Amino acid sequence: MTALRWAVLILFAFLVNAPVIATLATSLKPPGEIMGNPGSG
Amino acid sequence: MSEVGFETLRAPQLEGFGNFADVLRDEAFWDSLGFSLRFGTLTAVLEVALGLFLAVFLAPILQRHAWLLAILTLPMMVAPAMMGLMYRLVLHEFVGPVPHYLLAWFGTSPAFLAPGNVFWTVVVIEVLQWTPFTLLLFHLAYGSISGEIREAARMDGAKGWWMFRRVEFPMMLPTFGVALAIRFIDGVRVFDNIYVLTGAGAGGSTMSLPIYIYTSFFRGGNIGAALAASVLFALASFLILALAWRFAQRRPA
Repeated sequence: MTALRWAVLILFAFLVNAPVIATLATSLKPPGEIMGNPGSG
Repeated sequence: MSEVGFETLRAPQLEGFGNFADVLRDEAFWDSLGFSLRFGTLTAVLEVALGLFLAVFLAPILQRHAWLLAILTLPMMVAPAMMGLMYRLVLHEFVGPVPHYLLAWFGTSPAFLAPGNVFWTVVVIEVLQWTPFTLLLFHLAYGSISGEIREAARMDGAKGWWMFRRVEFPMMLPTFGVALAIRFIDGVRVFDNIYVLTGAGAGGSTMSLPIYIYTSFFRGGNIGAALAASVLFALASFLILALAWRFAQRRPA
């Protein structure tokens, strides 16, 4: 049951923070790549 | 706007309830009112249900590792307009990571902002941003239930679902009502994240009442109608809240 609780917690944390994570990932890319394809990869 | 001078304020010519009649005849007003009520109700119910479940289910972990709440409540720190911009990037048809990976893994990706899907998209976004708020409220309410009460209930044979249904939930009922009311109010008055994400949506499909008022005022130049709609919105809000609080007072705490 504890493992299930941790799995739910991690999934929920990922879902609610998805745009924050995507923004963080994009902020780490060089400007050229962001202009070319900001979202993927 | 630029043609409105102070003379208008000095010698007003009132036309009674003409602006109100115009608004009440406007189909877009009723559509936006319907959208706001549907959106407010649906998001409030989903956020409260999900927040309550998560607060109770994750209580053993969150009570031991309180710092995890900081991660879970991070979306609340983001301004709703910024959240709308972030999701605009994340869900973008050509450059967004969500359509990109859905296409790569499953070979297809829904058009999240298409007229048929956009209502559910904005509902999910609102629920994801504000469920942490209800989770936080229920976490505090759940943690504040006295250990002695739980112990007494256990001695009477209560456990599991029965304990939650008969002992814990009734003690969290005031929090439940407050969370539902706050989230409903926030849902009905939703403006910035939807406006940034979709504008008013295709064919006004995501036009909430505040967006209707804004577009009537600033885009349409129908200042009288916009203000009449604002007054109607305030009156409707007052009526709904008065009924809600009256109902809440009748419920045993």
